[in-house]
Amino acid sequence: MTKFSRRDFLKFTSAFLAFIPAIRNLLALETPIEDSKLYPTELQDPTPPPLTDEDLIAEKYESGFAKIITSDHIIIENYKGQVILHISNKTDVWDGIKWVGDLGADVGDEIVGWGIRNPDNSLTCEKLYVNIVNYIGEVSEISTNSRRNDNIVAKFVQNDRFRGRQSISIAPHTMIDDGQSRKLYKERPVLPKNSDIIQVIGRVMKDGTTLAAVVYLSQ
Amino acid sequence: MIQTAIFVLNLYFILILLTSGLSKMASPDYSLLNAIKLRNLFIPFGQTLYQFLAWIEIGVSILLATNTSIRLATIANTALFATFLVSQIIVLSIAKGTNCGCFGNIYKIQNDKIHILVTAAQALLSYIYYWLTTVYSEVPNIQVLVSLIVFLGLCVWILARRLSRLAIQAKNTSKLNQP
Repeated sequence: MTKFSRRDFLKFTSAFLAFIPAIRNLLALETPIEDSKLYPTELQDPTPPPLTDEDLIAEKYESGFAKIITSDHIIIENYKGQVILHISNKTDVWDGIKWVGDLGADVGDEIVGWGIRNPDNSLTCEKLYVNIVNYIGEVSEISTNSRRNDNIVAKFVQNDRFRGRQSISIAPHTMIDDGQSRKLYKERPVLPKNSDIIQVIGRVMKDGTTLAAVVYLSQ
Repeated sequence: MIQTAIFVLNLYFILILLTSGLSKMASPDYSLLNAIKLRNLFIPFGQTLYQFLAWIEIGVSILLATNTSIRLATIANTALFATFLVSQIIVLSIAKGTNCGCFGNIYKIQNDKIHILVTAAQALLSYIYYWLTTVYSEVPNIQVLVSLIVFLGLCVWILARRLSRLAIQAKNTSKLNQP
């Protein structure tokens, strides 16, 4: 039988009395992070900002695994130790791809922040990504899902050059870029063919599959 | 002694249901249902259901605060916590590490075994509360008055602060929009 530790007891008590911090947050005069504001609806290219200068990267970029998430900051852990990422309603989460941004972030997720460095080494985030990946590789095992109301409409396997075989899921709102134009999959249901080499930018889900945000069909 | 227990449970459930309901309403786009949607589990009208729950919670807290139809209110209270318990167990089995959604986007709690234990304790307490009201139906007027003051005081306070915040936001937006 699992031992109920002191930490578990504290966690139990804080969850039992969770309405107290909730009341405090409801009464706060500062604007809380609201999903509708946090994730703007305009669709842009989710490619992470260009990384040109190593110093610039070190100054503006931070990534690591989320340890604590609150409405105004995320504490991540990386090789430097713990770093605070400040977030606000000005933070551009997933470059405005609302349906991916709506998935939010959980403790343990890999967070990438881009923004302004503060004197205390924390980062005020202008951009924020959660579990973002960028795969380039050959496609195989394509299958479509014809069931109505399903959120995953197609799947395939991509053999990424660095990470190997990855299971990719396509949602109705996945953006498909064929080199000429880009449209949502539900507007133009085009999939890569077997053996095509494509690029996928997406978010790794908890089951290990990758949810494609943008698929570039031509490489 | 038992009347004190009833009073404490009454206040606890008023506070938790009112806060939880208002938090859900303040987070219309937030739902842990979003997290499980992508795991191919289709929930019809998920977001509507989430907002409907918020209204139910506030409705039950009003009944508890006013000591109106207390039997019905305590049954609904127990049913609510039993529903939360079942849904949290289902969600934990599908998606580990998601936020529970109890307080929407206002206060996030990770849906894990401890949180399920808390909800189980709350469901048990809500049943005990129901049982106590079946045995001791008489509630002193002073207790009803205190519950009502707590309920109305919190409602007015939250409403006033949120209106102030809207005013501050509007002022900031107009400043930003100035050339």
